[in-house]
Amino acid sequence: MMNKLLKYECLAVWRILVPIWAGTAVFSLLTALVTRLNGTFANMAGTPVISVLESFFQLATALLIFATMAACVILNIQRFYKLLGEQGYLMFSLPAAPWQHMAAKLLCACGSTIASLLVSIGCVWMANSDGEEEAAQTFSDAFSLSNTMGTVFLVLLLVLSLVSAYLYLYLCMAIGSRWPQQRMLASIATYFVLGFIIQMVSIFLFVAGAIVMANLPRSVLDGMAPFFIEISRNQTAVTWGLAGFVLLLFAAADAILWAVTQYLISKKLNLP
Amino acid sequence: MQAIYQAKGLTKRYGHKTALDNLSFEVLPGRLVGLLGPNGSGKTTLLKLSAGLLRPSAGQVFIGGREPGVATKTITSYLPDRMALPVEMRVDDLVNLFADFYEDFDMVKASRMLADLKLDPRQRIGTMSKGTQEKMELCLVMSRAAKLYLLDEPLGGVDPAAREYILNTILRNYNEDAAVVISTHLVEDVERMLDEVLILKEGQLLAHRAVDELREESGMSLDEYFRHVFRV
Repeated sequence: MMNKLLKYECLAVWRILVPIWAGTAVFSLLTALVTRLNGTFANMAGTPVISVLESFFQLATALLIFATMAACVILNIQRFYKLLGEQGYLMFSLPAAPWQHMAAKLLCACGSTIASLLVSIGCVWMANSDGEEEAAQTFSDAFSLSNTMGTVFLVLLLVLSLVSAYLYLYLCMAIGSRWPQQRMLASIATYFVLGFIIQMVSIFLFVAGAIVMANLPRSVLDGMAPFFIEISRNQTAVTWGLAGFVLLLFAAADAILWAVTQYLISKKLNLP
Repeated sequence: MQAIYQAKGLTKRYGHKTALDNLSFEVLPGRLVGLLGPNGSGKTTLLKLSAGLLRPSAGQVFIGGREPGVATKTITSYLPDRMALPVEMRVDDLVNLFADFYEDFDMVKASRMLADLKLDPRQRIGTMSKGTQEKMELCLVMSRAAKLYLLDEPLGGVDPAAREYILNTILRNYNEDAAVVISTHLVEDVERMLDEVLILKEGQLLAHRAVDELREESGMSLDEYFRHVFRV
């Protein structure tokens, strides 16, 4: 069932995104073409038209790349919102468990967002074809592509944070759907209120943690000192320890968001 | 014969409001059952609970001996009281979706019914009239050889000619070994086809009787009985 749900979800999303990707790629190619033409005729008199065209295409490509990412996110939000609306009567009547609907939507949302990101990077590359090597070097430096473990960490972090972002939106929509009316408004309000609550709880926990640490007995602090001195000598271990902790934190947040959303759509489903 | 549908002490509350109050009844295979009651009597809630779209506050529903879930959805064909088809999809996409998800979906029957409606397979659902969308939804639901059909207000908001089409579609296409539960308050239209009725009033089961028996005992047609019971 999961494969079938994923197939229909991907078809529905890609049917809209592929033409947008294609349009953005075409504009990027045109930008590259006009940029080269401008470079070729740079020393000739009477070429401001090409310069204007170049500026126009660069602006249009930049806007299209932004639109590609925005369209992808909005589309994926809308797909989940519709599942909790009238389309839910059809979808939840299919012989598939609620978690499978959620998983199909999440996988498709993350996949299409990563694909949109790659298309956008490719388009930026194409549009700036003059500086291919420079761009490649910048990209490589920025994302530490020479460092395999660093790349793995960044990719994992990207995927986990993407999952968190979508799951948080799904949770807000699932809570918003509990309202009998004005569900969209309720979902948006939930997004901000829940975000505020999470921030406040985080601050409280940090402050509480700091107070506890500051008031620890001298003997306990002395006992912990050798441990911190020891790990401070091994910078690599500290780096990977922190990286692992960040990934675990995201994974834990994802698990909580998933569990609460799944509970809401399977036990407390409230179709309009 | 074992009941295909059983409700045991079924109760559903929304906050302080009780939508269904301790309902217990059984439906046998091969029966056409009318779920009757005025607006707000709990018909849609009962069908949503049976289709697995809601959870009961108390009591249980069994379909083919199981509580609503993935297994019961494979044998239950549910028509909601609203248009639930994705408007961006095309006719053939939806037919393929039903064929993919339901093993009992009869592609030939569906194609025949959709051809009767003169629908272009490449037509998008969103471009159809509301009436055609509803008919298409019914055709898909009735193209399954399900063991239980749950039809929520299939006659709601349609003109008399469309009502006749819908009733004929149901009568010609349902699996004869299956039970059909039709909710409606247009009693006169469905009276001729029903074997038995479940009458709900303010969430309680007022009557569960064979239609012929009810007519004989009351000396009234089902429609007259309904009007008599729910007279304001």
